[in-house]
Amino acid sequence: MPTRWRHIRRRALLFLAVMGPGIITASVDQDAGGITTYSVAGAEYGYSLLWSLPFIVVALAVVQEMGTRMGIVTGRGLADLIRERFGLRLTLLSLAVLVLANIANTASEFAGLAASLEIFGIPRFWSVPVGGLLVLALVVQGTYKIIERIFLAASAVYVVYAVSALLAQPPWPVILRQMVRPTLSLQGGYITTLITIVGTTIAPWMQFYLQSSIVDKGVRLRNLRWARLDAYMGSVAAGLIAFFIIVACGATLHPHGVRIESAKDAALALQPFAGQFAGLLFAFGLLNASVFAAAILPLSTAYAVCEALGWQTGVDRKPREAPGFFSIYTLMIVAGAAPILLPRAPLVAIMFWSQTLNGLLLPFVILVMLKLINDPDIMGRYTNSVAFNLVAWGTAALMIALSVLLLLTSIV
Amino acid sequence: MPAVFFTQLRHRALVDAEGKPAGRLEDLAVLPLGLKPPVTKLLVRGPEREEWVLPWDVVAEVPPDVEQPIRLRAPLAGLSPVALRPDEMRLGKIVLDKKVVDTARKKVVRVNDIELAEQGGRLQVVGVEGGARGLLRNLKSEHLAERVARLLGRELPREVVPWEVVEPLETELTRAKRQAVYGKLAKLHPADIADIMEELNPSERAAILTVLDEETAAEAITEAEPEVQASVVQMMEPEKAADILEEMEPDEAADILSDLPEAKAEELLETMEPAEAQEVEELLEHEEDTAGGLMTTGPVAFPPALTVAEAIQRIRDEAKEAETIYYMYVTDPQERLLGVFSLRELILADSSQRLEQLMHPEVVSVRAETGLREVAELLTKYNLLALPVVGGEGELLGILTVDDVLNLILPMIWKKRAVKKFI
Repeated sequence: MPTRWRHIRRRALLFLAVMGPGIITASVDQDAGGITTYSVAGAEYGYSLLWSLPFIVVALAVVQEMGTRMGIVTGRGLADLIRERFGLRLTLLSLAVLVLANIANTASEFAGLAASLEIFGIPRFWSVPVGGLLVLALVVQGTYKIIERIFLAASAVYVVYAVSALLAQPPWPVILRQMVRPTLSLQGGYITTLITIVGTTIAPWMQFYLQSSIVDKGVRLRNLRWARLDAYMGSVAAGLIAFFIIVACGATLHPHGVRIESAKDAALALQPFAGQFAGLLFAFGLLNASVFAAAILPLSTAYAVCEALGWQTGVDRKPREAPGFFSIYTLMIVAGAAPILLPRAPLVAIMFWSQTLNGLLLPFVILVMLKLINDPDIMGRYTNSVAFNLVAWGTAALMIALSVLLLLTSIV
Repeated sequence: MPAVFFTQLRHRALVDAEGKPAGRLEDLAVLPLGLKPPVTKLLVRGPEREEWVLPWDVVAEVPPDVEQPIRLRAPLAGLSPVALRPDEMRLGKIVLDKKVVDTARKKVVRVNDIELAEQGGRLQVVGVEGGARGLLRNLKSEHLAERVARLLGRELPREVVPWEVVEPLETELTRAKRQAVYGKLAKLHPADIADIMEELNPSERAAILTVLDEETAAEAITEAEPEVQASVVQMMEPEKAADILEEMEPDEAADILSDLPEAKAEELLETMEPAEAQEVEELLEHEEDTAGGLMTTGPVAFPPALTVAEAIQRIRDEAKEAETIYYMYVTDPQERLLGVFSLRELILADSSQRLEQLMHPEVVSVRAETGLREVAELLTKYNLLALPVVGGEGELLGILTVDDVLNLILPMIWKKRAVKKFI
């Protein structure tokens, strides 16, 4: 018995040692854009988009696993691999996609920051510049790992959505029916929301971020299965939280026809749990998510760009030693914060539409990943299985089809 | 001898001796030997999009104008394809756009272009190019680089790393095909290898260390920063890591293991040879910043009745592995410390003299739990190179050398100085 116990203990320790990147990446799903998207989806369309979540979770799990596997097998980040396999031009195109998506994402984080502090009555002309400087200072101090941990711990606050959803006593039979036999719609708004949910859950930048974290962590091939488990668990967790946010909003906001136009509206979904403190709780969660994601996003972008182009990176260097790195980092923050300072910038819309952009750009990233992971010169015998290829190709194809459909409905 | 750039050769059209199109150049293969490896073969995408390999000899001329096609000596029908040899390296596939190590400046460089030069009708690799100019040339052309330079109002310097100091960073999959990888790296001082390792990611570090011989690998790891040490040992196959840990001084190995997750450290200790593992385990039981945690076990110790001649013989036979033999100790059968003598005293003494007559019985020693600062003070106060560490019964456990302590004391001193500078 003791040897057996020891065996189990060692396995648990092995998993704990490998665990992290997948779960962190999945919890980054719960950033300002994610919360807003799920809230808007629940408020506008009730439970009628819930059916998509199981599919999204499977797609997310497959895509995350692919990134994890590529990171472990090649020891290279995604941007690195694109450069090494496809050369400079496609690299620049991919980096442009990444930078574009992440400026939008960073803007959405600053919008979240502004929206949450407006609940406390702090105007955005104060909150955004101060927040921007804070984020700049955080990285100069070189506290990246700590930021990541705080972010991870504090994002657990969204478990309150599960409690709130249960306390709201939603009509479970209806929810079940909507999951199995959904009320589909071909309206532009419905399709856009669907694209946006996929885009925020399987965000393109997460794939770059996840693979780089795996490489930095240094996971050995032998521990691949534990890292996979990490990726799967993270995906399921992300799906569950999305589910409860949509249900909570579907139960509290949708019946009253509340359209989410400010963070205050979205906070109502927490009333069954937090009562009059719902606004406070929501603001706290959103603020945390926004500030830390606003730090991680520009940083991971700067890392990816510099590594692919061979520029010096590192927060422990002086700006003069790594000019490219610090310029990109600063540019991302400035470009992300500036639009929020416009007096009438619609915060909720910015958070939502940034995620739509993610959804539109996602197929490109998945196709690049597929091309890489199916190349035996890169992956040896760890290329994709048929099932994984089907799911990944299917996701990319569906997203392209949805985008085209959206284009058609908006023209007609 | 003007420079020829790989990105300007790649995708150039080829024409045969009769001026008929013969496809496009896809890649060049070189024999990676010598200071300037010669181009031996070219990979061509033929007119019907088929891929073939031709020997370099078929090339008649590479016109300097990048718009002009490369001319071949023979008509298309007369060309006979050859095969690539396993020791040949494809520049486009293995070097361009990849990371390489500049072993002279100890930096990692992303290869934006490769510079070649013509020498007696053959092309040779001169070096790899990083930097903005190479990047722009790779992207489009030299003209673009010139335009950007004019726009910025300053020169865009060429950042060429001579091939003789370039070490390609190969992955598991490309490496298996050739021997003699990391030859240039292996020749560097372990401290330089450690500097380079800090620029790499964990799997690249492991790849390099796996190729180095165990002694060099052990020294390189010893010289690296603690975080690098821990990550490298975790990334390697346990057998290889255990072999390298065995090569290290036990105190260094213990330092590294104490930074690892418990399960990993246990696994490595089980994989190591029992004798070496035991020494390390003993050290692991002591606190990190105490004499016990820093000491080296297994010091050179002799019984008191030994003669000088016998002692010298024993040193020759047994003390090859000892960390230091400047001081040697005399112990009784219970391993209790009786005295100390120096190498100088031993050599100058009469060869029939017994050690108990030679030794100094009043030994300055420390206990295993003595703190680092006190150890350092004793070493400086008595001007010693090493101190014996004893247990509760006065038994000799190990020795502490001045370099074990210096590594830890120096940062403290520097910090103090730095603070003073600003006050």
